[in-house]
Amino acid sequence: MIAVISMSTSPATRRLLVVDDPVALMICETSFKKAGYEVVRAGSAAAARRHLEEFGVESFSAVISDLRMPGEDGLSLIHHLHTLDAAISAVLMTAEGDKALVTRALREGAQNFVDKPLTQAALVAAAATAVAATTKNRRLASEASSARAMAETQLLLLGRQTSKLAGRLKLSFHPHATAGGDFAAVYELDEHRFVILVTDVSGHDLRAAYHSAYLQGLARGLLVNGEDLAVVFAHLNRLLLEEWNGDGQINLSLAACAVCVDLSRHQVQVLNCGLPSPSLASREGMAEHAGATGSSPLGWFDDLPPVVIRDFNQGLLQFWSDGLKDLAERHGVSTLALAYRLHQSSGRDEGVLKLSADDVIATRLDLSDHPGRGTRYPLMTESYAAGSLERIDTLQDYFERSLRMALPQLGEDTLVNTLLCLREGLLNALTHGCKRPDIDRATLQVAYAPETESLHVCIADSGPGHNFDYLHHEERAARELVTEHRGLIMMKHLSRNLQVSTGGSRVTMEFPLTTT
Amino acid sequence: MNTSVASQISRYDTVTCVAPGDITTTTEKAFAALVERAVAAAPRGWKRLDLDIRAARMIDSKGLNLLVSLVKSSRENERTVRLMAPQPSVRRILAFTRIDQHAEVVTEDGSPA
Repeated sequence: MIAVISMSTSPATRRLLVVDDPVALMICETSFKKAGYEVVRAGSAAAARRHLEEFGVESFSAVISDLRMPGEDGLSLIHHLHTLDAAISAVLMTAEGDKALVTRALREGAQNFVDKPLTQAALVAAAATAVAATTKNRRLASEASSARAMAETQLLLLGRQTSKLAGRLKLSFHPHATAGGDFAAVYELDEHRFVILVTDVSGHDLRAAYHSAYLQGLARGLLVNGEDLAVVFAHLNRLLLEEWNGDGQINLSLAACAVCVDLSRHQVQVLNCGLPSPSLASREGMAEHAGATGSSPLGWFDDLPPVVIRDFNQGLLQFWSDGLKDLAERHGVSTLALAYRLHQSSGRDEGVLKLSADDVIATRLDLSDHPGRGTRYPLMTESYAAGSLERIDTLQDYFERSLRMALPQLGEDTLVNTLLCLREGLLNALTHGCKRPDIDRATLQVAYAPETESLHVCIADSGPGHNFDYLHHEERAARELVTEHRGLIMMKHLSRNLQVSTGGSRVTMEFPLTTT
Repeated sequence: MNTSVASQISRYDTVTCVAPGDITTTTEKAFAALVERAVAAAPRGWKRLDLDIRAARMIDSKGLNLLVSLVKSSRENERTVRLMAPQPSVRRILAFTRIDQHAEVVTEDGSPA
């Protein structure tokens, strides 16, 4: 057997490496040359390997090889070829009765095969297909490489930016694809002020990544030169509306949330256009919305939501991309619980992230004077109308999934005690505190304190409350087997430090993670 | 959460009712109805109500109220109640509500809790 090889030295030249016996080699070479290919010949797989080493695999556009050769066969050669370059295409020349081998060859990565006896037309057609496939594969590989480089640069810069706020800022960024439209950055304005900007352009490709990076860069330039959030967002909105989307060809929208933190004035400014509403938690870990909800992304309409200015004493500010909210819905858990889990994970939490269908960005900023000291992290903040009573089992399942998501180490005893008290507390609030269906609401908040390894729960309702001496009632209930009002008694015993306030419409409880 | 209907067994002087899962606001009525049917179908002269709550991880206040009602009604009819409750979380609740002082609580193999 003889191997014929053809190859190319520049992208414009089409070089083939052809491996076959002497007679076939002559036919092949003639055919390929007539079709404009440059040919490098090899009489065996070993010779082909030498050519690949000498010229470099990247100098060939395709390899055409006989299947059956003395010594190393065509299948083995293709296997070796693809260890050098996964993008290069190979064509096998096969004889009658090689069907099983052909099937295996295709599995091994051969791009095509041609039957012997060979015809010039079949050879040239197979070579053309193989060269085109190599060109395409190499272009895709190059784009993927560029995208990886871009993503690595983005993560590197993000790491540098966030390192200045070490201990205060947690930023979890998990791109769904190598390059995508979600982007997070931290811009330092002066010693006490900085801006965190999260942007989301739809798409997971280079185009989306480019648009997002372009708009982030523009925003950064304006911000560090002293423009405030409203001016920056107005400028981006005008740019998108008039320049990018004016003729209907680009049609780009940008969901963006910017948070400007002034540590010296203990003030935070939030401007949110199209991302989920940021959450501001008190020192006790009880979270509330801290920005406009339901606002449109930039590039849709002229009007923008106002900048929300909040004074803070201590606590946490959190915000995230749609991807985190979507992932939380897929898991059926609270977004806060999922964010806590991701912030705690070092690196990618594959088990949690495998359901994600979008880029996931979660940002948590500790606004306290001594970040991390005594901090309570909100895991759930929920609000329910009176009609929610019928869904209590569904809600309890949601609480359980959320707690397990945030605290995988949570023991069964603590989990059951907490769930039972959440259930009882919510049932009480919905039953007694939500008499007016369209007005009253019950709220449920859960936070975790790592320093004391305890869960903190607050359940409240908007009703008038009712004065009920549950401590006095407990004794009578136990002695005389009274069937009413056992919820509070259970909560008192299953939790630590039960406090009832505002006339009974607010209850707080603690649950240590480790029971003694 | 298991909310399917509980099952029942009657034999000799004991009426036994098995709760298939938690006894809560959403399941206590079905369990109460099952106990009622089992008691109605029991032969005259039965003396003990066995409530098998081994499958319950959780008993909420409504579930507790049902247990208390059953203990009270049994006592009024000079019958006893035995609770088969091996789960620690359930036994804790039975202890601090002092139901365990009004009804016998046993573990998986029937030994006292």
